[in-house]
Amino acid sequence: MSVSDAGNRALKTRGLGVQRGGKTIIAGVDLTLSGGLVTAVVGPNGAGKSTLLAALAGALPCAGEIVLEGVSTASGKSPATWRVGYMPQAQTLRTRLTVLEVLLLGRREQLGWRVSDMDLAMAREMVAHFRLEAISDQPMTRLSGGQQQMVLLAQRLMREPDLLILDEPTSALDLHHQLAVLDRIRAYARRTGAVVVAAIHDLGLATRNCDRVALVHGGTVRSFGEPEEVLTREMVGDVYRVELDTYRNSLGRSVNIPVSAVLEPVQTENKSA
Amino acid sequence: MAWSMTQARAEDAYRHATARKAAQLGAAVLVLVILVLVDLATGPSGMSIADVWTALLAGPSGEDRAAATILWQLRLPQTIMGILVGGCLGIAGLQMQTILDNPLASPFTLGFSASAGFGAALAIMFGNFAWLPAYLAVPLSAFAMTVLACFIVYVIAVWRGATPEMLVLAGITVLFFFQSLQSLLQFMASPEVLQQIVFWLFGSMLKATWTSVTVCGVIMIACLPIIVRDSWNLTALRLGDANAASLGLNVRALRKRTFLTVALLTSAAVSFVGTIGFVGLIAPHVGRALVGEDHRYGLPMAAVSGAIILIAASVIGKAISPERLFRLASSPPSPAFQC
Ligand SMILES: Nc1ncnc2c1ncn2[C@@H]1O[C@H](COP(=O)(O)OP(=O)(O)OP(=O)(O)O)[C@@H](O)[C@H]1O
Ligand SMILES: [Mg+2]
Repeated sequence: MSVSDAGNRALKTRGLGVQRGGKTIIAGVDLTLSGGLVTAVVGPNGAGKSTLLAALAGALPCAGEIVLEGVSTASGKSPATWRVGYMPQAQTLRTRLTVLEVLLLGRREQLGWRVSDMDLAMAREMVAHFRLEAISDQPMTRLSGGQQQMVLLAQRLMREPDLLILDEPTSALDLHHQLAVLDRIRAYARRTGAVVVAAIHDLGLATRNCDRVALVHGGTVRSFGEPEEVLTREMVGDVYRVELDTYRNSLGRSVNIPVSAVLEPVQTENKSA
Repeated sequence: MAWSMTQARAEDAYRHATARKAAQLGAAVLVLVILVLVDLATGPSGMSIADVWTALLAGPSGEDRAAATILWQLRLPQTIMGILVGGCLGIAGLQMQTILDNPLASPFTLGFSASAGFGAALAIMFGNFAWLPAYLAVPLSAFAMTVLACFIVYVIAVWRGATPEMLVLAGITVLFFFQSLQSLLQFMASPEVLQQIVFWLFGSMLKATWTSVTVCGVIMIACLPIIVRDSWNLTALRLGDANAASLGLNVRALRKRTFLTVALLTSAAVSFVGTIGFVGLIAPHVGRALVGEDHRYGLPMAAVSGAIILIAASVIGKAISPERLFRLASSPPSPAFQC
């Protein structure tokens, strides 16, 4: 794939909505996600982040439109053949497949009866990239939560997706690995021009290590843009119901640090009646 | 440099592990072959190994009529049927445990044993005046009832979504339904008929004929393409439904397809020789313990393990009570030979 068509790839949604169990979970989402950039989806619990990502991945039926643009016809692909790598929110694995076997499954569509040298070489590269050498022949059940998460992420990268959708890929990772993994994802987006979206709870991580932020609240995108534009003190305080302090860091940038949760008075039976 | 070395080691480790699995499979096949030879060479007639060998070379129309009959009409079909039934139930068992994500599942979790039992009981009781000879009517009826049970479970599953919970619930419903029908028949049956029904319910290779071998073999071969095609998909399913689906797998379609394969394999196996429960439960565990969850190796290993278990049971059975086998070989055999 040439750099030129990597540059103008994009995923656009128009009036995207999802209903589950007769309830509207998300509605009226208009987004344009550019290729080559990592977009962080942030928002409080239950805001609809996972639902939005599942809809983008085609894993949930939805209303409205999702348009995948910019894959030039020269590359021989229609938008319908975008390769999607979607990682659902953390689940416990009960399989005794080894790390390398799990990585290989990322190439499920390409695997022949005998695993090809190319697929195996890709898996080896992932093992090296994610520093999984010590555990590459261990069954998944013997891995820690964070290790499992990294293996599943590496498995999605094995698919060489045009659209990479990650639901909280860093939720079980330590500080070092959070940063390392986001670096890796960012480098992947830059290199391939893929559209990358990741739900992230850590606003600091979203601000410093992602290119765009979509703030989801109450089933819709409240704000979208550069991290600093979106995650303002007022917006974060309002959406997350927290008090923030603003500091200046060594680079002279202002940094918002949450200091306490704003607790609403508990509604009593009498009041609501 | 350091990178390429660790990479090369990872590749070696994988190829090495794969080669080890293939070797284990080869060893298991070897064990099976030896057991098959022992099984063919032993029996109540006391034929020597040399006699067996001569009869084998002489073919079904060999000059020694007694030896030819024993080997070609009794021992060979029984042994081959044992291999086929063990293979079918081993594969079906592993497929079932994988699609239901439950190590306690077996081909009979979905009620196929009860339906086959009912079908057989029906034919044994009411089949006398039918135009079909009993040795065909009983397995046909068992097969038909299994297909019916499978159809009911399938319809429920399609209607309510083919989740593991729904499949198990539908299966248990079907199981109890056919079990009560079968109990009703047993209650109504005369003592002689009852004895025949109960004998059928005890699975036994003594019921095997070349007809059953052919039918079972054809069904197994017909299922092979699907089994082979879906072996990577079943491996992917071990990651859980959500992960498997996000690898581009149509999980529901896979479940339904595998379920139909299980139904076919199981009914082919049990219709002729009765219900042999534990093979479909144990063989998958043996297979997984030996070669892991990669279904490319797990499925053949479960098949070979199933066959080994059945043939070993037959060999041990003959060693324990050769005289009873002889006594019962002609008239209705006793439960002693259930496998
Ligand atoms: N299967 C479902 N049926 C009905 N409602 C659902 C279903 N799954 C989720 N919801 C509802 O949809 C809303 C959004 O859920 P979602 O999982 O998208 O939130 P989220 O932003 O990912 O939260 P979190 O940060 O906790 O992961 C929640 O109010 C939840 O109750
Ligand atoms: Mg979520």
